[in-house]
Amino acid sequence: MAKAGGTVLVGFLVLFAVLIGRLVHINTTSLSDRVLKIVHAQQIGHTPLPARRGCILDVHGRVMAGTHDKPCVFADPSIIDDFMSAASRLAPVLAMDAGEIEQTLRENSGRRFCWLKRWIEPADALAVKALKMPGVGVRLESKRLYPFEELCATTVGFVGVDNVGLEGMEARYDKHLRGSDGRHSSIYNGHRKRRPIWWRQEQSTAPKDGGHVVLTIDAVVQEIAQRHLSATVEEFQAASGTVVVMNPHTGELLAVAQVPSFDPDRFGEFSAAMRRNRAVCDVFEPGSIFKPFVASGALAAGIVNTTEEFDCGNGTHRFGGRTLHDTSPRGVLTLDGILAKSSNIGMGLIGERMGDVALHDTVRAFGFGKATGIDFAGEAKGILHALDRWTSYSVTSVPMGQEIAVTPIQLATAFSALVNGGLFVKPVLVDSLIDARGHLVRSTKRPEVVRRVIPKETSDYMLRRALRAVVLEGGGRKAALKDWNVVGKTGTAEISDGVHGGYEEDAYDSSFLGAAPMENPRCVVLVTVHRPQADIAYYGSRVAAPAAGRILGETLAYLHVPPSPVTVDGDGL
Amino acid sequence: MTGQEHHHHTDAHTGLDGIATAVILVASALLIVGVVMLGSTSADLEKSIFDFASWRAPMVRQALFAAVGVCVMLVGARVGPGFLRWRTCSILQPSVFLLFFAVALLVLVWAPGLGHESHGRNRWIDLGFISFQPSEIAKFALVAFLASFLTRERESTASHRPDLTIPMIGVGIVCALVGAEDFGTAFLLAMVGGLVIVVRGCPLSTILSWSIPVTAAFSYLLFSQSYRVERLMSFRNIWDDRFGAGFHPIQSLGAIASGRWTGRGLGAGLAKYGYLPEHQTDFIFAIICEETGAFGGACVILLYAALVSLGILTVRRAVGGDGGFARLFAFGIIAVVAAQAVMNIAVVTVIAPTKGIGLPLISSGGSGVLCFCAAIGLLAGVRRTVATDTQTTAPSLDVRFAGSLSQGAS
Repeated sequence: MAKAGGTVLVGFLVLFAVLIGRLVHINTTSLSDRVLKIVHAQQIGHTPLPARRGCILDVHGRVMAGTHDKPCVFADPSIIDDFMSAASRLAPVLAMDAGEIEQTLRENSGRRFCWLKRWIEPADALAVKALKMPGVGVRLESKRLYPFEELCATTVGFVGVDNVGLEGMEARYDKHLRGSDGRHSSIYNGHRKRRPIWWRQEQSTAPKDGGHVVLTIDAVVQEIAQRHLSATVEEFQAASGTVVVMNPHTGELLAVAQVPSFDPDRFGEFSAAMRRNRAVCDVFEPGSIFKPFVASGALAAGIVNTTEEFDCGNGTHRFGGRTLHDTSPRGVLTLDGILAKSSNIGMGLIGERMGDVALHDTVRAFGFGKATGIDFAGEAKGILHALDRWTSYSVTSVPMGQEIAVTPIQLATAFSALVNGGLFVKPVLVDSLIDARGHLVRSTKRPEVVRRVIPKETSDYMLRRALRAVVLEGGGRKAALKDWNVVGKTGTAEISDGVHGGYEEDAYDSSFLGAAPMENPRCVVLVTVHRPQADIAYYGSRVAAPAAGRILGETLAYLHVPPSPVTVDGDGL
Repeated sequence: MTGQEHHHHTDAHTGLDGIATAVILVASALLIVGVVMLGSTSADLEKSIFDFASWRAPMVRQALFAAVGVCVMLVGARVGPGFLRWRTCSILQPSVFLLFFAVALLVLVWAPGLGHESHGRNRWIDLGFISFQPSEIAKFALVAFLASFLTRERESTASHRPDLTIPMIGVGIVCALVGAEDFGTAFLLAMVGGLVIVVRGCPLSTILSWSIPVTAAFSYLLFSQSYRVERLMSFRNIWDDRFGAGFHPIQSLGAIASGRWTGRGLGAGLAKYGYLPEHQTDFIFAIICEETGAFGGACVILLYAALVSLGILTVRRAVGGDGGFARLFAFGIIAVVAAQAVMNIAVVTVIAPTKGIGLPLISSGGSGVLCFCAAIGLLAGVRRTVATDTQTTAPSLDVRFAGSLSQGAS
């Protein structure tokens, strides 16, 4: 009997061992993860602590995109007895239709929470609170704010309702701006009530507020550019227009303006076409403003010299299979004369002399046909056909800015190289990233010299002689300023019909590409006006040059650039 | 064996020997675990301090019962189970009275004014100042009755074929009365009763012939209450109905898994805040695991294993000369403790379907603590022989002689 009893009891010992094994089993298999997932979801509740989205600032710290807290009205429909009376009481305060409020309440009648109106004015919020209605409350929610509205919208971009960056810098630096949300974790009991815990603090992870993005854009310059561009587009009833203002030595973009723009607060009301950044994303055939690049390339390569004379004849000249025209007979011109008079024949002669390889190399060296690498999504690289696709016309077409498509940013960058001593500097749009407390995270290196394009002497000649001549004697006269010596080049390009290499009738891109002051250029400005009404005016000299001059004048004054010295011969040489 | 005499004697006069002391210490350790865990489960910032440390607070009540229980154990160890032994042919036996007492209490559960309903079941008797579960007494009354009846002295030893009718009726009545409201305990009683009968020794044919009515009776009990079948079915897959039938098992597993190896710390468990039902009684082992980890849970299991091991030693060394009563009684007590612990932990770890059954000596409940203490005290008091020589004891004439001597002395 003792033996049988002992055996049974040893059997119990075995069962105990099995039970210990079961404890190990629970803790070492996926069973534990599975139940813990369920149990943690029941026991631990998380309240998100949203991080504050950082600001987008201009170069002087002016807020171009910020975040502020605005009152939002919400309701708990489950404790509102009479939707109709509640709606009629709220309607006048919220400036909403009572029926609309009632419908919102009805649709959410089973829920404990619904928004009635988001982002109201603080005074209205006080009025809502004064109603002391059960089931209606006000809480602050962060709202993106664009104080400059349309001014720099295409560059700054915008966020969606959930404060996620959708376009522009808001999208590009979304991760930096957003920061990371924190959360407050608390323990709930079996009846879904939060309960105090005495053995440890409730756990909170503080939100990490987003950092700020500092642009190189100067809101004042941006406003100057935008104002004159708008006026010009309106005056000439153009379809659109773009202005780029750049520091030629550093590549910093001071303004990237466009018409039309959009209000980032109501981005949904504008088409994607209106919201795109035309300075970076749009390409166009540049026309005559392209001539200085080719001329300087020929000069730098020693193919032409500054004293050489070109016979531009009586205004027509036959190149191989086609005839080029100048607007009037130009006669014999030197290089500066060709640019000042914007002679197509002169440029054709230079192009012929260069040949396709040297010409192509020059155009490539100025950065055309490839992206500048600007810190902005969706940059177009323009069109520069490969040499093997060049036709016999190309050596004469390209020098006058045809058979090629460029972006405003490419033009401004290339022109900077032309006037800054010959260095191609990468355009810069973002000055720096700073964290929420203002500490520097990253500063954009500048100038980032990519390569030397032309020798300094060539650059000096172009700046002081050829481009200056355009403003003194050529089409750029309307860009001239009293206090500063302006240089530049006008352009009037027919718009390609995009079908068989032909051009639309009476459709032009009128441009002016300039810089000032000549002695040490502080600003490069590009004004392009797309499709001005031809019956008003369409020449770059009439449409774009005056705006460019005004923009340069106001900008240089704002930047406290000293006036150019008065020289004896009056032309700055 | 030349120079040494077999010098067996009992230590009834000198108090408790090592094993008896160990039994009481292990049982006391389990009691302390119970008190500590009840303190932990009733500590709650949202409740008054009086819910934690007043005379009516679970921990304080449990501590009082545990203190009384330890005294009961010490007394029981002094007395020993000998008084329960069936000596004469008369039916007037202590164990029979005990059984009748238990049965009477089981019936009284149904008496209006006395019976106390909790969780929809009549398991308690409410005497105003104290309510207790008669089924706790019934467990040990049944063991005492079976052990004494099966080892009773009989005039004629001619027919050695044991007659199981009376024991089976006893088991049947108790199981039926308990099982009407408490299937798990009835199952436990039937199992322990069966084990005691089998261990005592009886032919296979007898066992088989009794198995038919037993099976029938349990099937009836099982299907007479729909929730029992539901529990059995839901145990098959707890994930299907995680907020219904699977809720308790998932919460129990969740508590165990939350504890990992070393636990969240005493008092730091969360399952007790309205998630795990019966966290002070049937599911207290899950709280132990949550707060002290699988390590703590294993320690508790090892304490039970130690109690069983000490029980084995007690059974082995029990004094003969009583027809094997002490051995059978000791076996029965250990079997009750072990079986109940195994069943409870199997339920908590979701090896077995939910049965309303507590963890011996740990779960909240005065009647349970006191009954277990009394039984374990008697177990510790089983008269034993101590071999002073190097040989382990073996039952012999000497043992029988010594055993009867000691009985005379006590």
